[in-house]
Parts: sequence; structure tokens; C-alpha cells
Amino acid sequence: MRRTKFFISVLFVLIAPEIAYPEYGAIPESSIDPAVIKIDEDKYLGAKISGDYIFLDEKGEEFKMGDIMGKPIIILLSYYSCNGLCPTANKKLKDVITGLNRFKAGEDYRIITLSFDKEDDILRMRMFTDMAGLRGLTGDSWRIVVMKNKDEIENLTGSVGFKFFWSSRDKMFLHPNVFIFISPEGRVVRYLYGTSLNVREVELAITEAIWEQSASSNSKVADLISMACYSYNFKEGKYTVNYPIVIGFGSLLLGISFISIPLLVLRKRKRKEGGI
Amino acid sequence: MHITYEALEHKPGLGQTLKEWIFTIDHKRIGILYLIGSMAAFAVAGLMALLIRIELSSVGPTITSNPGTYNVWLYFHGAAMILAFQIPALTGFLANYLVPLMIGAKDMAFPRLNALSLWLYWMGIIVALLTFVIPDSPDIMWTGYPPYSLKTGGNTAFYVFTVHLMGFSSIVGGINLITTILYMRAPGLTWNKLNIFVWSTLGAFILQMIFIPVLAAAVTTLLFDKYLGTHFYDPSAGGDVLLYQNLFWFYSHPAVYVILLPTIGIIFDIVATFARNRVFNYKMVVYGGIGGVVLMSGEVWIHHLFTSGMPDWIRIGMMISTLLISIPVGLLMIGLLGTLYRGAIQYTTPMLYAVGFIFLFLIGGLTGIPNAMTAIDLYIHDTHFVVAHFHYVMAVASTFAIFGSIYYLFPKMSGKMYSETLGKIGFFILFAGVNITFFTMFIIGFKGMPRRYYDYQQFAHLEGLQRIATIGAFIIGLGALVVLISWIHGLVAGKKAPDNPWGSKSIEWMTSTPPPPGNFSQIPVLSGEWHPYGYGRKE
Amino acid sequence: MSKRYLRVLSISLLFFPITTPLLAYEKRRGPEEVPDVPGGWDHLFNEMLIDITIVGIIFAAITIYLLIKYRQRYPGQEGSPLKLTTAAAIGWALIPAFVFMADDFYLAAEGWTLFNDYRRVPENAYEVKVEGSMWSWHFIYPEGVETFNELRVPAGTPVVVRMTSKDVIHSFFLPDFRVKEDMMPGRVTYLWFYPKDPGEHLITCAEYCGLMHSGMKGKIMAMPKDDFNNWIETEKKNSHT
Repeated sequence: MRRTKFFISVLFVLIAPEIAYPEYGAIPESSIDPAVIKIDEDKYLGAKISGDYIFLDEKGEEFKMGDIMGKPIIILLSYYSCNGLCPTANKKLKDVITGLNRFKAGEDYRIITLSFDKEDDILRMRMFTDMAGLRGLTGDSWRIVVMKNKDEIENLTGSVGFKFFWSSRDKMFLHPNVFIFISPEGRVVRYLYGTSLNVREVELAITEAIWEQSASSNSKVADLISMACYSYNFKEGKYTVNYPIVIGFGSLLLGISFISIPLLVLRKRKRKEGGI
Repeated sequence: MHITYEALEHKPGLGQTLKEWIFTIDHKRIGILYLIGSMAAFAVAGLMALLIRIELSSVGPTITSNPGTYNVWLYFHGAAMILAFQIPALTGFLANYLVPLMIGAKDMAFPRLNALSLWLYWMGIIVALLTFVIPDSPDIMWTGYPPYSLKTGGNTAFYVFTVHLMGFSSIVGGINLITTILYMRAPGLTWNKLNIFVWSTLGAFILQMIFIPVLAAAVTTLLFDKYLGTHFYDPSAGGDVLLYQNLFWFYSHPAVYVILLPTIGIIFDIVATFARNRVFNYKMVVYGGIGGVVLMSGEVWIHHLFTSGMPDWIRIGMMISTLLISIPVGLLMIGLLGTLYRGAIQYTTPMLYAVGFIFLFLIGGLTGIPNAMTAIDLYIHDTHFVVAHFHYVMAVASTFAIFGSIYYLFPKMSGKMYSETLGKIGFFILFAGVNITFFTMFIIGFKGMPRRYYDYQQFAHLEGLQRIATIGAFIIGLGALVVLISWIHGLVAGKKAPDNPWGSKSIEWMTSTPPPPGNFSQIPVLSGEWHPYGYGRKE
Repeated sequence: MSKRYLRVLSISLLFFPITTPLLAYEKRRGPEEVPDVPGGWDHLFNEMLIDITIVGIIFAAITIYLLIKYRQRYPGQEGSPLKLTTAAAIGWALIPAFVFMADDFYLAAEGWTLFNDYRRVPENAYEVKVEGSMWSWHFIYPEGVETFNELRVPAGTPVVVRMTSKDVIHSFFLPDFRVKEDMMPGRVTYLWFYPKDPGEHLITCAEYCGLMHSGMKGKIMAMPKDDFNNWIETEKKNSHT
């Protein structure tokens, strides 16, 4: 399943711009093994991102990764000359977070869209913002940025296991369609993939990111319940119901109901006795 | 009751007698059959313990060169001792035999259900014993943690089925017993005149019935994972390995109290009888002690998971709740000591076992406090220290109570008296043996040696201590042998027992010895003055 | 015992559980200082040992006294219990309960302080990833160097290990540092320790993991900082070539 997921996301990358190559792998040149850009989640979950990276935002203002830490961050790695997947992914995230009521962007978490393309500059960034329809959303909650020191890009992507490469034949970057959730102290908590992104997934991933710092006292009982009831499914790349806890609760109720059997018997017999 | 007891009357002929026993629905016989089963399990699991101790007596391979064999011994020792010996001996044998007698009932509320629960139990024992017959014996310890239990070549299914059978047996028994206690008390036997043992059994069965389904769910999902390809506990497919541990200990910690409660209940009865004294502060013992344990037992299970990567705040919370459980348990201890105060203590064998219990339980209970402290536990968790602790508090203490109660009930069950000399010799050997073995284990654990080790190259300097523990284990074995001999001697050569050799005021001694089918020739009539612990001069 | 006296006593005991944890409160240390966790453990364990020994001896002494004093002197002797008044009965339940509770809260407060030290990783701790598998430890250093069963760390720097497992549950147990934590597939757990001086320490597995569970061991080698840096550099070169 996990493998298929990557097939799908890579396929998406390939198909989106020019609906060609109907059958994946039919043409030797395009038979790129999706495993090449697959994120090794086991290895990178818990990896720490340095707070020292410096970003440039639209206005050309500099800020450090460390400045926005302290709240969960969703990192969306894109490139700004892209006219297929990247804007779509950004739009999708925008749609999802408008439906997210439990957490508010800016207050509870932050988003950054970061370019991994060394060629990208502020101008392209502005065009991309317009194309993806993100204008207006930007500000403290969602920042669309490029790296100040372009040589550091690969350090950052490397530290979260994000792989990409330029396909000269397709004139585009091949990269996973992934949303990376970072804990307040800068650790990778969860990877979610574009194909299965929805409000619940994002909510759970942010909850997990907050909980990474277990000392956090503003955790709520509702979070505890949802964290216990759902667990991340690596094979399907999304959260699925944690069945054993449901079964466990069901059986506890069953156990409690067993106690009532003797009480019911008692009542019945007493009534009988009274009748006689 | 609408059961006729004529059918149960003794008839000559061995085949006939055997048939009578096997198809019996008499609670006393069912109790004795439970006793035989649990003693068989105790013998085999005890043998495993000796093998384990021999293996640990020296660094490197000692009697087996295959760690897998050793792991099977460990599995069987743990699973059989808890599931097939202690719980059935206390809630099967003692509860079945004593409760109807103690409340002046003719039998259990549902005698046939009672037989069903016995049969389920025997099937469970057979499945457990099959461990030694099948080629892929389970080696998953009595906890059966995934993913190991899913990945191992050992057979997880036998473990799961054993748990299922024992669990069903307990639930059926529980429904039966609670109904019996609620409904079938003799006229005049009000709640505040129940024996402590009846109260504690009621508490134990309430716990069993509430929590067993959770264990059953946990192991069933384990079975599905292993043999049907589901992914309940597979982390790569959305499962969570920690959840099993939570579900497992959510039952298995209360199970400790399922063992503790009847244990302490029967000890109260023995102590009161032989101290010739009323139970001190009866209501405190029942409502504060037993009630408190029942209420708190479900909120402390995380202390088994202090090092398992649970969130820190849960560990702190459960540390506090675990420490607080010392309150009801402390009240029970005060009740015991208060019962001795101004008594006239007769040192018979059962009383010696009760006294032994008090000391063992004291050591076990107090060493539980370091275990309850999360920070201390980060070091001693999963070491021999924990092993020593739970053997003292659960295994040895309750085994002493079981042995003591067998001596206590020996005249009633068999109609003969055992030899006090043999009984006392057995007690002292056992008491010495358990202290040598398990106190040494505290030191071994404090020095850091983890449990479930086949070999201990990295702790080779502890070999001397391990030897002492092994010697202690053999002393225990010898003691158990003496105990067995004393029982056989009592059965074969014992003097005829009077109806009430201990001069007890409790109802079970009001009937003839051994009790006839139907227990009482006439339902005991209790005066308003009567109390099961109404000993001594009133002042 | 008069009722009035009892009431006063029980009210003052009510405050006992609340006040005792304050006794356990220790002075906060500066942020730079690395807490001495093994030392704290030893200290707390000793304190606990004294606590439970005292309680144990009191209980045992009372029991032995009662057992001797109240043995049956002549056949047929009966006990001579005193009748408990309602107030005394309640007092005998409440007073011990509060004494136990006070002791519990006192211990809990002490344990809590130490547990916080255990879980609060010092700033700038050296971070190593550990992956357990049947039956060895795989260490991945931040520099990209990898080792098996041998964890080399710079002495004088706190080290935090972030742990996971490839197959079954293991437990990363460092007896010398008085700490262990399970490692399991699908989750990341951590523990930290502080090797003050150069030296070797045992790593051993504390969660049953099959055949070679007892053979799953390794060592921590705390090296002088310079030696460690040299070693890392050499290893880095080796792994690149």
C-alpha cells in the first residue's frame, strides 16, 4: 500500500502537466522508480530541524526558522515555477485549513511554503502566490518563502528526508507530494500525503505535534480521546481508527453488564417470591 | 432451590463414585476438583520454577543449551501459576467450597453453571499443559506482548485459548457466586454479619467480571493478528504496540487484587478463629479495605508501563494513584493486627500460615512502594527486584494463604485431622525457603540484573547470589513435599475429625463433617446475637 | 479518646497530606547545571529504604509483640476484645488513612522531582539515534557515523538517545545511569544520561525479546572530548570512502 501511494503521487507529478504516458512504466525513460523519492519515514520521524535557517518572505524580510518555532509548523516544500502539483497542493491545504475549527492558523500552528528550487526568487514567489490563490492568507500564519542562502536548501530537505530531482526530459522536478508536520521544538512528527489530506488528518497531526512536548499543559481531554482512538497508518499514509481501543471499551462495557445479571436475577426471584 | 439431592447420595463402586465426581453439581465436590486441578498446575509450574532456578545457578548454559526451552519454562511458570493455580485455587476452590457453607446455603444458585465453569477450567488446564506436547511451544511469557508474540515461531494460539477458557470459567463462576451471595444467604444473615472471606470473594468476582472481557479482547485481537492477518498491533499499518500492553494490564493489574482479596479474606477468617477474637473494626475492613481496593484497582495499571514510553503526565498520575492504594491495603493490615490485639492466639498450622502471610505480605507490600515511584522504577523495572516484589506480595503470600486454608478446611473436607507436627515442619521449611530465595532476588535486582535472562555474562558477579536463590528454591521444593506428605498422611492415617475442631462460630462449622449433600440437614437459624466473629467475652 | 480531641486531631491530620509534600520541595537549580540523576536516584532510594524499613519494623515489632503477648495461656481461653465506640472505629480508619496518605504524598512529591530530572533533557545534549533489532543495537550519530553495540560519547556532555525498534519491543537499560526506556516499532522514545568521566558502561536489554534476549548487550564508551572528536572525524572519512 505504501508503495502504491508513492506510485500514485509520482504518477500525479508526471501526468498533471501533460496528460501523457497513460500506462506508467510503458516508456523506458519515464520508468522512474518511485522508491527513489520515497521518504524513509522510520528514519526521519523525530529528526530535528535546525532553527538557524534564514528565509526571505515576499517583502524581502528575513526571518529565522527558530523565530517561528514554538508552535507546530506545517512545511510544504514546493517549487515556484511549477504549474501542476505544487499550486494544487497549496490550494488543497488552504481548503482543508479553512474547514479546520479546532486549531487556528497563526494561533495554534503555522504554515510555511518553502521553495527547494535554487532558481526561485521573490518575483517567482509572488507569481506563485497569485497562481495558487494564497494571496491574503499570508502573514504570520502562512508564509511563503525562499531560502536566503540557497546552498543550505539541500541540508534542510536532507534533514527531513525529502528527496527531489530535476527531470530534464519532463522539464520539471520530481518530488513527493508531502506535508511535513513539525513539533514546537522542531522535530518531524508526521508526514501526510496530498492524496489523503483532509481536515481530520491535519487535526490529528497537529495534535500529535503539540503532544510531542508532553509537558504541554494546554492539552485537552478531547485531544487525549482522539489521540487514543486514531493511530497513524504507515501503509496507507493516513490516520486510521485504533480498533483495539474500541474493542477494549466495548468489552469493558460488556464486563460491567455482566455485573447486572445477578442483580436482575435477584429482582426477578424476589418478585416471584413475593408473588408466592 | 429446586434441585433434589437424592441423586448425589453415596453409592458403592469405584466406577460409580468416579462418575459421581466427574458429573457432580455439588459445590463442595466442584471445589475439591478445582483444588486438585490447581494443585496439579502448581506442581508442574513449581517444577518449572526449579528448572529455571537450576539454569540460573551458573553463568552460561547449565542444564539446557537452548534458550528457547528456558523461555518455555518461564512462560509456563508464569501463565500456569497465575491463570491455572492462584486464581482458580482462590476463586474456584475456596470460593466454591466455602461461600455456600459460610452463608448457610444448600448449594450455589446455579449448580449446573458451576459444573460448566469447572469443566471450562479443566479444559484450560489441559490446553495449558499441551504446551509441553506441541512442537512449537509458546515462549511469549504470560504477558504475550506483541510484536514479539506475533513474530515468534512459538504458538500464540495455545496461550490465547488458555486465557479464553480460564476467563469464561471465571465469568460463569462470577455470575453464579454473586447471585449466590446476593440471594441465598441464610435467614438472619445480614450484610454486616458476612464473613470477611465472603465479602472479599464478592469484591474479587466483581473485578473479574468487569475486567476479564478486556483481557479476552486483547488476546483475541492478538490471535487475529497472528493467524488471520489483521493489523491491530502492527505499527506499520496503523496498529499500536503499546495499546496491547494497556489493555492487558487493565485486566491484569486488577487480577492481582482478584488474588489478593480472597487471600486476605481467608486470612482474616483464620486469624479471627485462632486468635479467638472478633475482627477488629469490621466495617473499616469491609468498606474501607475491601471496598477501597475494589474501587482503586482499575486506576493504577500504568505502573506496569512506567518504562514503556507512556506520556510523562500519565506516569506521574498513576504513580500517585498507585501509592494511594497503600491506604486500603494498610487498613486491612491494621484490621489483622487489631484482631490479634487482646486475643488468645492458638498456634495451629493454619494460624502459622496466617502469621507467615502477615510477614511476607508486609515485605512484599513495602517493597511495592519503590516500584510505585516512577523515578525509582526507571531503574528497577523489569529487574529481579520486581520479580522478588511480586513473588512476595502475590505469589508467595497468597500461596501461604491457600496452604493455610487447606489445613484450615482439611477436617471439614476430608473428615480427618492432619498431623500438626508435619504441618508445622512444612511451614517452617517453606517460610525459610521463600525468604532465602526471594530476599536474595531483591539484592540481585537492586544490582541491576533484568528478569527473563537465560544467561547473565554481563552480570557474572551475581552468580553467588543466584546460587543462594537456587538453594532457597530447593528448600521451597522440600517444604512443598513435606506439605504434600502431611496431607496424604492426614488422609490415610488421620484421626477422625469432630464437626468443629477449631471451635469456630462461623456457619460452615455448624454442619456435620464432612458436610452432607445439601450442606445442612436444616437451614441454620441465626439469632440476633450471632456473629461469625462473636468470640471472646463481651465487655 | 474524647470526641472533641478526635475532631481536632482529624482536622489537623487533614492538612498533613497537603503540607508534607512541601518538605520534599528542593531548591531549583540553574538552567546550565546538569542534574545528577544517578546520584539523585541513590539518594531517593536510600531515603525510601529508610522509610519502608521504619514502617516495616514498626509493623513487624507490633505484630511480634501481639503474637507473644496474646498467645493462648490455657486451653479454652477466649479473647477479651474491647468494644469500639463509633468515634474510635472511625478514628481507627481515618487516622491511619491520613498517615498513609501523608507518607504517600511526601514520597510522590520527592519522586516527581527526580522524575522531572529524568525526563527533562538538558540543553545542548548530544543526540544519538538508536535502533534496536533482534538482538543488537544500532547507533546513528548526528555526523552520519554508524556503529553497532558500541556507543561512543564525549565525556562531560549529556547525551540523549532517541530510540526506536525495527522488530519487537526492546528496552535500553543503562544500569550505571539508573535509567531504562522501552524502544518499540512505530514510536520514538527517549532517555538521557550524563557520562561525567571517561569510562565504560553496560547497555543491556530489559524487555523480553526472544532467544538471545540475555545476550543483547552493548557498551557505552565515554571518551575524552578530543579523542571523541578525532574518532568521529576518522569514522566520517572512512564511511565516505
